[in-house]
Amino acid sequence: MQIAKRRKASLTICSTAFETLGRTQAKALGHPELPLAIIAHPFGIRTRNEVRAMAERCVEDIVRLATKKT
Amino acid sequence: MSTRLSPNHARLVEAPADLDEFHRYVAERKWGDGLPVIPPTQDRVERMLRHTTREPDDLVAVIAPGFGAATPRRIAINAVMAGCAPELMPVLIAAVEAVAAPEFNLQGIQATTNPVATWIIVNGPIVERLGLNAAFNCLGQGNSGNASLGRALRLVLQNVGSARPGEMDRATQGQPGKYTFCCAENENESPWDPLHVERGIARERGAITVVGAAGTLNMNTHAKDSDDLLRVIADTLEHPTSNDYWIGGEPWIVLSPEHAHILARDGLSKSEVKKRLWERSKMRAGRMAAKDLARTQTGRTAELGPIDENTLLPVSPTPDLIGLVIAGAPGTHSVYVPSFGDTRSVTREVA
Amino acid sequence: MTESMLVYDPTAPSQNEPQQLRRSLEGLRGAVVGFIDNAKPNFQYLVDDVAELLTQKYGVTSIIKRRKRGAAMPAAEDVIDELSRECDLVITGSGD
Repeated sequence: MQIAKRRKASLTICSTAFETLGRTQAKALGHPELPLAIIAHPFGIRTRNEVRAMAERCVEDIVRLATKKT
Repeated sequence: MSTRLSPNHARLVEAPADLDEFHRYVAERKWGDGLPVIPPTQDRVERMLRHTTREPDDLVAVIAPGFGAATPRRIAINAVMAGCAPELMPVLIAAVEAVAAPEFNLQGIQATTNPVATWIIVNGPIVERLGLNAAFNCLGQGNSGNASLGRALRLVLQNVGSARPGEMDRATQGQPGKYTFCCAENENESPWDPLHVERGIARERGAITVVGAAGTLNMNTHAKDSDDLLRVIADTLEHPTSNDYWIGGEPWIVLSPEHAHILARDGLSKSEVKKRLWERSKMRAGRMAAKDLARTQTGRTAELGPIDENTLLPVSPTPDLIGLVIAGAPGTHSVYVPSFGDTRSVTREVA
Repeated sequence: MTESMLVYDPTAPSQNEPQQLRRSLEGLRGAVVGFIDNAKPNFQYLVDDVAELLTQKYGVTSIIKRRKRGAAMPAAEDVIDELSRECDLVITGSGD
């Protein structure tokens, strides 16, 4: 959010359990459109290989969100 | 051109006058804590506002994570709902100011999965004047001032700060202290300077301290020797799932007057007690889960240097960060109040 | 119709005015991407993998990784300054 306020492209990777917080928080901070790339919760228990698979899906979201026209 | 109301402006709305219906009305809007609240009518809010010299719509603090403006009027509205006597208003305003201090880390405290609650400790002559409880069951039920102050602060945090459970308040379970958590220090029974004096406020002034408290754990011991007493308290502090150990926190001890007198009788000052507890409660990092040890390495290497499983972790970066407050009635019970870790308590004088 | 009374709404809207802060990139080829790792378990692996994929598949030229001391605290001001200055896109983490 601090980054977005400096007029820089930014996005947040957020686990499903924190999506509501992420969206409500972004709105409360005056940045309702903060892009969120969502990953499955709980994230911390995944194996190294599972993280890799999640990263592959996540990177597509990141590219889509970072280049999306508003 | 449409006129936009200032974000400080509190809105009046029509609500059912019938109390049962009003209770449902409040629940539907998630304005309460589940228990019945007093309707915040204009009259009641005005009565509350007579006890502060501040302008009703001036900003007292911005409350994370929703960044709503806590004004004297909004604080009064929530105080009415919580059942506060109007005389408590200045105490509550000081508490709202205190939680918004950056070192308290309200954003973290409000939005975390941790059960952390905001504990208010009241000091000074106001304790007696306002009839607050520092003795029997002071952390339990029964005293209207203790109960309503803690509850009012919770309602401000939830309503003005928009930290509603499951929305921005992400607490996994929370804790009963999130309904209310407030006591006074039992200064009359303390062998040492009270908390507010320790923090540079004159003894005859009123003050509050807010603490990011993760829970309470009873410590029942019949130890009658200071060394034995400190040993078992220090041993209780140590636990591998503690936020204090992984980030370097600020744990609190509520000492019963009996326990405090054993320590003072053996010549120990408050700071010496803190120092001994700090030394004796160092925990071997290997007691933590591997992932928690890794987090500790990220969180505390700058403070402690390289950390491996044999590193002895202090509960807080320095001994003075162990909080000590004397409260309660006769009995062999003291209370361990672990902290959220990434928070520092804040003391403010009550105007 | 039951009787009504006037009461104050105890809630407060956000003080922050909504702003149009979203910035999009034309593409990621040649971009510098920064990460702020929230220090929660596994997040550093996700950062490593996403960084690698961005570089290999999408032509990102350089990656800057920084880590917070703990998840519940804001990133240090100098880290925010550095990443805002050096990067075209900054990615942060929330949750566990």
